[in-house]
Amino acid sequence: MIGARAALALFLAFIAAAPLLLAQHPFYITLMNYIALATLVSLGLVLLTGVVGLMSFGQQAFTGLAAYTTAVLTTLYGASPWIALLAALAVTALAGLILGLISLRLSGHYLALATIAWGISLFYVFGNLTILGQFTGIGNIPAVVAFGLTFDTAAKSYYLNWIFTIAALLAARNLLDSRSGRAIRALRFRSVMAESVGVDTGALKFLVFFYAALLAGLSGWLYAHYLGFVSPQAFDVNAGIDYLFMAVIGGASHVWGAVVGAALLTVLNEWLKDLLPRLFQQTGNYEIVAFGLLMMLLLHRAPEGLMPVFARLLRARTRGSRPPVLPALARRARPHPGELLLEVRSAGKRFGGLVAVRDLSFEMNSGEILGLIGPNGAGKSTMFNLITGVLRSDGGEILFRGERIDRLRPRQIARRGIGRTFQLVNLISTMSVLENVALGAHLRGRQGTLAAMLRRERKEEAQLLSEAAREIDRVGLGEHLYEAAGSLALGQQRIVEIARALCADPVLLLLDEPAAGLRYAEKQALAQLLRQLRAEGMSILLVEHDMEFVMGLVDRLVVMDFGEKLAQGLPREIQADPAVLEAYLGGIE
Amino acid sequence: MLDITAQSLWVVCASLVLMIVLWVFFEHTIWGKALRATAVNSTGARLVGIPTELSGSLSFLLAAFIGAVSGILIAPITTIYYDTGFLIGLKGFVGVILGGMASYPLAVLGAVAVGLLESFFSFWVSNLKEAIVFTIIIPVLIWRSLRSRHVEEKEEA
Repeated sequence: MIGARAALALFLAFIAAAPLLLAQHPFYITLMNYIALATLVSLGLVLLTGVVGLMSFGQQAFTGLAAYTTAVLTTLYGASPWIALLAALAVTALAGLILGLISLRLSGHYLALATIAWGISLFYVFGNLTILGQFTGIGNIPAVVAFGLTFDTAAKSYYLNWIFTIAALLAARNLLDSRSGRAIRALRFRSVMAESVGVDTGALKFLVFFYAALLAGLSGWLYAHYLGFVSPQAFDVNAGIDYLFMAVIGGASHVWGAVVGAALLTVLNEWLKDLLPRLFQQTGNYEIVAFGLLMMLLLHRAPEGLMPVFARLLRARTRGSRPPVLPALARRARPHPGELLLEVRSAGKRFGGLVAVRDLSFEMNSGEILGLIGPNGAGKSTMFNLITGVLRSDGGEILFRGERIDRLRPRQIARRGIGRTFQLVNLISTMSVLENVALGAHLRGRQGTLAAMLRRERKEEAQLLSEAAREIDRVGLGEHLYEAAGSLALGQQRIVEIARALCADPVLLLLDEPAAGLRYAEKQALAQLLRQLRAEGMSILLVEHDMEFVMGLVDRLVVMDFGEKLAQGLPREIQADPAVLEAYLGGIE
Repeated sequence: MLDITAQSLWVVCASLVLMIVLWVFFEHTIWGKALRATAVNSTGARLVGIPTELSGSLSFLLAAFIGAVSGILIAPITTIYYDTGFLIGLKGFVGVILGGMASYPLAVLGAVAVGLLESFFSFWVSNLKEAIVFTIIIPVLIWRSLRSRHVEEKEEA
């Protein structure tokens, strides 16, 4: 058992020493070069497919674009490879921009199909343009020269290729372990939640797509100058499928899975190519058949890929090292107690023939706890979604601190100081409690993806984590900081959601059934927490079914039934209201 | 002068027969209905006793069978390589997408449209015909994707 840090050091040492160890076997150096080039492309796919969940079969198109750009510039126009690198990345970026804008509008299998489509199109474009040498390709591409060194042999190119590859791997690792990284990891299954804490999910998806394209482009540039030759066959659809395969086999949600997958596929391919014809005593492409079978078996045995299997061999991350306590972040100005905070004016929502909310109006003052109750299906959660912008009201107005918010997006509403929890727990179950809660502080950080890749945001990151730990302590889950959120009991997960909402420093907190699944003592503690928050000036809108919990806590109540307001008033008025009793108990004889 | 070979007639007839058989299967047999139910809501289907895994295998079997039939039919009228099926399959996909993945006659229309486009472009710009055929699918995909707009929140596996 070794730690992750030691494993990384071993890996780097191996990469550095490999050319010396394998000096007698130039073939293996060549293989290692191919592994580096494939790693770059599949690393992009790890982020795009494994983490964000967008399937792309078209990365080879970006590789090809960059390779051909540099080939044409250096052979026809005699440009320096370094100038050509900039041009190649610019071309890839432009293509990524256009294809990204088009493709990311597509959902599910439409996206995968679009990537296949453009992959095939570009393959035929490469193969048919005269300037690109048609199907014979372009040769005599000069080697890269840097610091007086010419990278013209496999052994020399080795270091060039791996330096770029390792830099990209480390940058991706840093990115995923940052403010932006948490948001990126929420994109796949939790984009509604991510928007609710202020993440611009569309822009972030695009960014990941763009980064994956650039990585593929970088690989193409290295490839062209390493081989000195480009031809369309290297960028056909099969190449795209291979890259995706590498990412999936390696463990598509792990950065290092890119290396594992690329190494396994490259080595296995060569090895089978060598072994099988000898086994069958005749030449032929048996490796493709054997390969397919092996991969099916592997995916059957380890559907998550190989990296999780390796990760189990490493010592688990050290627990208990709490983030250092730092001074609290600046908080936003709070409205005066009693000030009109939220105003809902005849909001409505219908889904086809079903009217979920009809002509609903109520007001809420700053510093109060308002309970929104009603039988199942009364439209309470729909009302929540109207206020937070997840759904758009059919009519009427919703005002927050005097400003209309019913036409804003969820992330814009989050920015104005409305935090929420979800009725169906909306946590990233594989991420730690600390990271889940830190996601709530997304809008309190400024540093972007580039700073994260270069680790220039550590100060801010420490502050966000410190803030998150503080909120977790406050809701009483301080012992569970580093546990996976999915391993907590359901009631505790709801509390984690409250901590996440608090982490955003909201003015108004919307809680959707926070007490469901809690034991009696935990409910008491929660009620105590909410009272304390109110005393600090927080306003809370609460949907809850547990009447004992609600009646003892709220200042006022709004009762809904069949999408309409049935009654509103103080708890004891509501308890005596005949209409409410009728709705809940089915009438009194 | 139109030149129709017996094989082409076989292809057209087989497609028609398959379409009718599939239509009867999906509209009028309990297995066909079970498959459709599984496609719409697999949890719900399981709750009413449909063996959903079997449905998966069954639809896979059906698709494989139809693929095999089309392979047998096309073999005499084109040159066969080891990877011929790949491009045919992909173009079939383009056709289905053009047709909207919803009805057999529309899928046929889509496939015919792909064939016509390919023939015309091979006449005008023979070099880039494949590139153009596959580029055409992208606007169609966008159009289809915009029409089936819904909030997609998949569950974590």
